[in-house]
Amino acid sequence: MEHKGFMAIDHYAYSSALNNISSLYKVIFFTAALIYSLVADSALVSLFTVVSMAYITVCMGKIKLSFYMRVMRIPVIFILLSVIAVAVNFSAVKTGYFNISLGRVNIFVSPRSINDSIRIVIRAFGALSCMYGLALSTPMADIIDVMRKLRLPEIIIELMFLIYRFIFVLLDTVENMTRATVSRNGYSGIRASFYSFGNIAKNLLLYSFKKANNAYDAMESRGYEGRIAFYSEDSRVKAREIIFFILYFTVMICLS
Amino acid sequence: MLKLIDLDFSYDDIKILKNINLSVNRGEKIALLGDNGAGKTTLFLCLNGVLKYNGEIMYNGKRADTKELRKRVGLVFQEPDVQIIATTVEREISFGPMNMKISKAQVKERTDRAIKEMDLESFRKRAVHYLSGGEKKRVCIADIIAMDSEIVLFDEPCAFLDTKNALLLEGILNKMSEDRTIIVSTHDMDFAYRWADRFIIMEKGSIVADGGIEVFDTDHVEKPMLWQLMKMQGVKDLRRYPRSIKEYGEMYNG
Repeated sequence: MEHKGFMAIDHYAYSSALNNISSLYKVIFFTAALIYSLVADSALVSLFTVVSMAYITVCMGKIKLSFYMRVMRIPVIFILLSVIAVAVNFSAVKTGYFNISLGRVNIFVSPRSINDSIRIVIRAFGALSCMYGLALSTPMADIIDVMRKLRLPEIIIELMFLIYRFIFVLLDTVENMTRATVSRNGYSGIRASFYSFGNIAKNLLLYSFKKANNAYDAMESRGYEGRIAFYSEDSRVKAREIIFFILYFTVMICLS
Repeated sequence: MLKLIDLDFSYDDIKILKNINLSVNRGEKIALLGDNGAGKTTLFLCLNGVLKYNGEIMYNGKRADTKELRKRVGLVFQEPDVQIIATTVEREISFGPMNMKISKAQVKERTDRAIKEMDLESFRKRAVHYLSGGEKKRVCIADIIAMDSEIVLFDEPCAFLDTKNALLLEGILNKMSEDRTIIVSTHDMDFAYRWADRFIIMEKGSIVADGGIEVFDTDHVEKPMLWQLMKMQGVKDLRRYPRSIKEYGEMYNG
């Protein structure tokens, strides 16, 4: 079955070969790598992060390379747009490279701004690859469990659990509603499309209220008294994983 | 075992359940029949202590409060996506026992037992949103098994299931009824006729018939196929009414 977008990331997280490693370990490892690559502010460290995270996610996690490349491509447009803002400068006098004159204002790029832009791109990709490493190796439910262990406020944890669970239910409902609308030519023109979209949004809101009430009844029927608690066992951290952690960060420190 | 005395339930001044008096005995297989809006689901929600009712529910001769009802009576909801709130099968099944404030070892033992009983071992760590309708239904039943409920209520258990999964579910219901009291609300008359020992028919919030297969002689309910066949053949003695095609074959074709 072909999964798209968020569903695909969730699907790969469950099927990753790294799924049986302790979630707490993975959260700490990827978060530490993310923070270090940002704090070190070194192109070499960021480059190492990009390459090593790709290796961890694709080779060790056994995620398809084509999928990994596809998800990495998604934020490229945002990163490039932000980089343009850093690379391009404005001046009243002609200076720098690729000077374009717009009347009294000159648009140009300087060696320094190009250098800054490249550093920003590499840093952003380094940070991004850490986030994808975590997202593609650890299911959301395990990440929420770790947050509970780290004593995040209970209300946030419970909301995260419920939102994550009902995203799929509501996605399913939207898909069915959209199919039913399409089957009756609901998107045959701009006017009809706006009307159909509005109706789907309205019905989805009402449906989600009803679903929430029913779900609350179902929770109460199983003794819910204000705290959502599940039984889950996290895998133990193995010695080789600790060694890998130490080696990884030693390399990072040496490179910075 | 469970006794309902003058049970009423109103919603916005509209009486949904009216003067329900009912006794449920240990080990019974009961089919709760009635049209949409007859009050079957509302009755289940009251029996499970989710809705606040007027009247009394007694358990083993003592008045049962909400906590007692939730402990003794388990409810399998019609729509699995309403009942399932956790992200993986194991977490979902452990939700009920975790709420019972028992030790983690006991929660694990109950969860493991329910997973085994519903043959969900290979799904244990699976995300619930990737399961099929039949698998989700089994998870919902495992939810209740893990709570060790003595009475299990099934709200339209065959809804959303294909024939294969419906038959599988019937087998599960038969197995569960060996050591539990089961009440099933259903529109499937053939299934009810085949499976249940006792039939309760509801109409507009009241119980209008309660008994064995003789209730099908009343005008309150549609007739099962086998029942109609026996009527057409002019068989009058209800003891000679087969409850399944297999029984029919044994009784009438030697």
